Amino acid sequence: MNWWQLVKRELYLMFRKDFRRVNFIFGASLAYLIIFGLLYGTHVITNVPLVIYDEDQTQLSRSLVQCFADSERFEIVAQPSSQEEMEYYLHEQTAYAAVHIPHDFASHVTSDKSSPVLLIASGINLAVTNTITTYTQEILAAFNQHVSTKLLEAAGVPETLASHKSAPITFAIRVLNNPTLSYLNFFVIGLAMAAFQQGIFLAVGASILYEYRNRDELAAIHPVKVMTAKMLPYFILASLSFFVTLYASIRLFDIPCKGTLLDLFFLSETFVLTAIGFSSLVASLCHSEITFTKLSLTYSIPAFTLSGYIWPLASMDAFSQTIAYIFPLFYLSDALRDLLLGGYSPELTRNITVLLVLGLVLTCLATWLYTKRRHTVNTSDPTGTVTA
Amino acid sequence: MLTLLAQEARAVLRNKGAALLILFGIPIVYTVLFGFLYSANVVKNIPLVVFDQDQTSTSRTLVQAFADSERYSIIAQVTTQYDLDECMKNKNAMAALVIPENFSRDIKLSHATTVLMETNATNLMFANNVVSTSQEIVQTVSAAIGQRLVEGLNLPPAQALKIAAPVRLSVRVTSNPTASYSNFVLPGLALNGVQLAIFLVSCTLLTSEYSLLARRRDVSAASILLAKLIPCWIVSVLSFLVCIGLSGSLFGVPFRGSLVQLVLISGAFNFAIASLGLFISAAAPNVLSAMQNTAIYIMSAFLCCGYSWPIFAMNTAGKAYSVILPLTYAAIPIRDILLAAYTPELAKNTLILLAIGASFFGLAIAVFSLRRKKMPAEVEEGLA
Repeated sequence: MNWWQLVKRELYLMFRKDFRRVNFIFGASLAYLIIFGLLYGTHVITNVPLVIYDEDQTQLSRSLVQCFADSERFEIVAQPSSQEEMEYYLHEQTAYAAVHIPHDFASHVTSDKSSPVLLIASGINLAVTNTITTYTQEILAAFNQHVSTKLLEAAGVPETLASHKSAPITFAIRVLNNPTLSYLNFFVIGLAMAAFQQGIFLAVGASILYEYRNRDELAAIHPVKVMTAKMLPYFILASLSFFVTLYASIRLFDIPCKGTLLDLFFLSETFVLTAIGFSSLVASLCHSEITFTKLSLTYSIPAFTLSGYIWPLASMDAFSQTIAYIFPLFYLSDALRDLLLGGYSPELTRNITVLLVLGLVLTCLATWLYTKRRHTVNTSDPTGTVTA
Repeated sequence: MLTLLAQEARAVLRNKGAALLILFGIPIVYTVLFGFLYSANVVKNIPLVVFDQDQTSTSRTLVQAFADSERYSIIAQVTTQYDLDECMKNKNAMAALVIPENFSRDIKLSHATTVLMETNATNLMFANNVVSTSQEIVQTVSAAIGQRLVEGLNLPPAQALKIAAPVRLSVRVTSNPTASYSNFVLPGLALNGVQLAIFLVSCTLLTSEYSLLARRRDVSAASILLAKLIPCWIVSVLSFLVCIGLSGSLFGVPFRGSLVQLVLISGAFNFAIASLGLFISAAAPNVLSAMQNTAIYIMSAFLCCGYSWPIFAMNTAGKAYSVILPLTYAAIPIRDILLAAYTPELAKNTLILLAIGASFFGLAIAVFSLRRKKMPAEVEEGLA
C-alpha cells in the first residue's frame, strides 16, 4: 500500500465503517459548546432571591429597600415581619440573602449616630455569595453617600461641597478583556476544549485499537508509515473541528475573538498533535477499547480542573502545580481564552513550544510502541457487542 | 437469590478487583487530588501593580491599605502608564491601582477625585475578587478621609465619623463563613467521582450475562439484575462515605449534618445512577458505543446541576436540562447537609432519586427479559 492508499483506508474506516470517530471529533466540542453556551446564557448571576426585614418602616428605610428593589442583581422575594420569619426563609433556601434594617435605623441616622444594617448571606454557593456581598456593598456605599451628603447639607455645608466631603474618593473600575464579567466568556470555550480533547482521544483510541485487533491487514507495511498515514486524517479533521467550534462560539454565543488567526493556528495545531500522540500512546497500552474509554473519561475531569483554567495556577499548591504542568490542556485552554478575550497571551510562545515538543515525543513513543507490540498483543473483545 | 448475590459480590473482585478499584479508586483519587488543588481555599495574593501619580501621604495611605490586605500582593510600583499596561498585558499583574495626580490636593479642596482600579477579567476567579475587595478597601479609606474632612467643619471626631458613614454594613456569611473554596466544591466533586465510577462499572454489568445466558436461564431477570446491582450499590455508598471522611480529615470540610441523612440521599443517588448504567447495559447492542454516547450526559452533569451555577440564574434551556439530571437532586442537598446541617426538601429529593432509580431498574428488567427471550438457542449455546 502506498501513502495515499493508507490514508484512503483510514478515511474509509472513519466515514464508512466506524462513523463514531467522526462524531467524536466534531460532535464532542460542539455538543459541549452548545450545552454550556445555553447554560451560561444569562452571563452573570442576577435576581438573587433576597428577603428584607424592615423593622424601622420609615421613609429612610424604605428608600434603602427601594435601592435593593431597583438592582437587577436582587429579587426581593418577601418582606418578613420578624427575625424568626427572616431566618426561616434563609433556612429553607427560599432566599439566599437577608437584609435586616433595625427599628431605630432612621432615628439613629438623623441624630448622627451610625446605624448598623445587617446582611446575612448564604455561604453555600460561593458564586452567589460573591454576588450578594459585592452588590450589597455597592448599594450601601451609594446610599451612605446620599445620606451623608444630606446630613452635611443639614449642618449648613453647601450642596456641592457636602458630597465631596462625605465621599472624598470616588471609585472607578475598569474591567479588561471581559468587561461584563460574563461567565459565558470565561467558562464555555475551555469546556468545549476539554470535550475537544476528549473527542480526539476517543477517535484516535478507536483507530489505534482497531489496528491491534486486525494486525494482519497492515503487517507488511512499515509501522512509521502506518502511524503517519493513520494520524494524518485525524490531524486535519481535528484542526478543522477546532476552527468550526471557534466559529460556532463566535456566531452562536458572541464570544469575542481578538487573537490573530496565525496565533490560533499554531496553538491549536500543536495541541492537536499532542492530543493525538498522547491518545495513541495510551491506547497502545490498553487491552480493549472499553478500558481505553474508561481511562479517557476518568482522565478528563482532573485534566480540566487542574488545567489552571478556573482555579489559577498561582493559587495551587506545589503538588497540584506539578500535575497541572503535565496535562496538555494546561498549555491550551488558558492561552486560548487570553487570545480570544484579550487578543494576546504572554505564554503563547512557551505553550506552543512545549506542545510541539510534547507532541513529537508522544507520537514517537506511540509509534515505537506500535512497532514493538503490533505482532505480539492480543486485544480482547473490543466493544462488548452482544448478539440479540 | 443469596447464591446469586454471593456470586456477584465475588465478581466485583474478579479481574484483579477492577470493579472495586474503579468504585473506590476514582472517587478517592478525585477527592485527594482536588482537595490539594483547592487547599488554599481562597484566591489570595492577587498580583497588583500600583501607579501612584500623587506620591503624597494620603495616596500612600491608600496603597498601604492594599498592601495590608492578604488578598493582594503588590508586585511593582510603576511610574508610567506604559509600564502599567505592560504589567497587565504580560499577566505579571492581574490588577492595577491608579492614583491620579493632585489626588491629595483635590481631596483637601473638596474637589472630586477618582481612583481607578483595573483588572484582567479573563479569569473571573481574580476579577470577582478584585471587584469586591478593592471596592471595600477604597470605601474604608474614603470614609476615614471623609471623617477627617468633616472634623474640619468643627465637628467632634465621633460625630464626624457618623456623618461620613451614617450606615454601617455588618456582613454575616452563614454555613461557609470563610468562603472556603474546598468546602464549596469538594463534596460535589467527590460525588461526581462516585457517579462516574458507578457509571463505568454498571454500564458493563450485563455484558458477560448475555454471553452466559444458558447458565441462568431458570433464574428470573429481576433476581439477576438485583444481584448485579446490590454489590455495586453497597460498595459505591461506602466509597462515597470514605471520600467524605477524607475531605473532612485531610482538607477540613465540615460535617455538620446527620450521617443518616447523608446515607439516605447518597444511597438513593447511587441507586439511580447504578440503575441507569444497568439499563444501558441491558439495552445497548454495543456497550462501548452506549458508554461513549452517554458520557456527554454524565460528564456535563456536574456543571449543569445547579451546584456551581445556581438554577435560578439559568435560562429555560439550562433549567430544563438540570431537571433531568439525577445529580441535581443529590449534589446540593449533600453540600447542605455537610455545611449547613440541614437541607430543605430532603424527602422530596430522595423520593425523586428513588423513582428515577426504580424506573430505570424496571426498564432494565423489561429489556433484559425481552432480549433474553429473543436470543436464539444456538446463539445462546454458542456464546456459552
